[in-house]
Amino acid sequence: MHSEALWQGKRHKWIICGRDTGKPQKIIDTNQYMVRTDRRLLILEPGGIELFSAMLACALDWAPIHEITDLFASHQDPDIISSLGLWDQALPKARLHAPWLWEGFIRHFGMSHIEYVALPDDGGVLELDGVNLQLIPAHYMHSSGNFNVYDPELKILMSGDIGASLEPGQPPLFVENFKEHTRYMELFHKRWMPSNTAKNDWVARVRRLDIKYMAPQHGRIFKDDDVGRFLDWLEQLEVGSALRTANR
Amino acid sequence: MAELNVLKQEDIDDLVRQYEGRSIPRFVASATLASELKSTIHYAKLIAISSKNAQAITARAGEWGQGFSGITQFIEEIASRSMVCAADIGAASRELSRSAVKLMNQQKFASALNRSMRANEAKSEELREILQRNLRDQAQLEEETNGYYRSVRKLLTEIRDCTRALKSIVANCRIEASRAGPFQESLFTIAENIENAAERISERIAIGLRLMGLLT
Repeated sequence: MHSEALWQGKRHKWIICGRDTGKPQKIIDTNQYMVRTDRRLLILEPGGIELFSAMLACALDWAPIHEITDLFASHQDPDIISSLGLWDQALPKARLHAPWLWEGFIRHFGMSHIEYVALPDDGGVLELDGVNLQLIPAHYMHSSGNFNVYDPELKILMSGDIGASLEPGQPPLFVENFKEHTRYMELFHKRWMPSNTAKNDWVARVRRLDIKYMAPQHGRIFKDDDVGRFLDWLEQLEVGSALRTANR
Repeated sequence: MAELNVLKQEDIDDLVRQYEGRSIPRFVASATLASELKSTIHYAKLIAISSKNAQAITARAGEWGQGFSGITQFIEEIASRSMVCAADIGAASRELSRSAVKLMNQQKFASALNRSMRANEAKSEELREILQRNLRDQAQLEEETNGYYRSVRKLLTEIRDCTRALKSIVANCRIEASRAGPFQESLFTIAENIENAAERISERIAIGLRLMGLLT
């Protein structure tokens, strides 16, 4: 699994783990992000069971096991957090930050040692060694209980499934040609995002943030003007496509 | 590229304490070992580079450098063998971690099957067949895991022997450096660099062996 530090702040850095050439072919490719401080490591969207071994090896390159103290799951999907039962065995002491709505569901993945920190609907702050990360509500985008993580110092929005693209092969980490890139995002957003109201609400909320990088859980990362281009593109996109198909 | 983690002996004591009586899972100890031993490759490379530098100096030094020159080839061979061993340890430890994860999943499955069999005794015969298959898979995985374990241990021993050999060569390096006249200082520095790198490798090996202890 490829890993590299992408952004460096005063007291923390963001690391991406992904583009895993060793993963089984038919599972969707995912980006895992990590925030490293002096003494702690937070894994954002730790991933599925199939990725666990590679992900553990990757995380250990950045921090010893007892410094992996926090996990974050934006929502309940298997590609986000089905590895929980294994992390639960692996980590001596850790907390999982995830929507309150999904606690009873996520615990089905197996959780005896890790503490569940239930995130309220209006979000909040995840404090990591003095670094404050904001939890931005993104409900119904696509999950009914869903959060993004915003880093105001480095101006990064970890957007979970929003901005995701399904692109074959091993694409580069960053979007290079936004217009070209939309074809890999269209189906995903039309089908996996259920509500135009929720979508527009999210776009309005996110426009108030100062974002330099938008980092989704699948596919390429948006930077600088491409963030705005993405918000414009999403705003005009009609989502909930299966509803129209079903009512035909 | 990730930073090179360097656990100290006291960090491992701390780690054991943090699990509060739970045993550290095999897949964690082996993945940690793979990560910790990565820096060994880096230090072995430093030794190889020092040896190349020594070759360049001794070539310039002519007769003054003849004694040291005879040793450099040997140093390079050991450094190169250490690099291969370290890379192999990394690969074998990662495989060990993977198979230990699979084994744990199989064990969890077996335990769930046993619970189902107790809950539904009438159907337990059907489940017994699945359980038997699972136990066979477990045995195979156990064997695989033990195989990787043995490989890692063997490689650790080999790299430890390489480091011991390097340390004893450093003594010869110093003797030869002292006979190198105007090149003495440069060659002393090289001997010191090799010694330092060998020392760092020794520390990593000691950590590796501690982690191996947690795997049993």
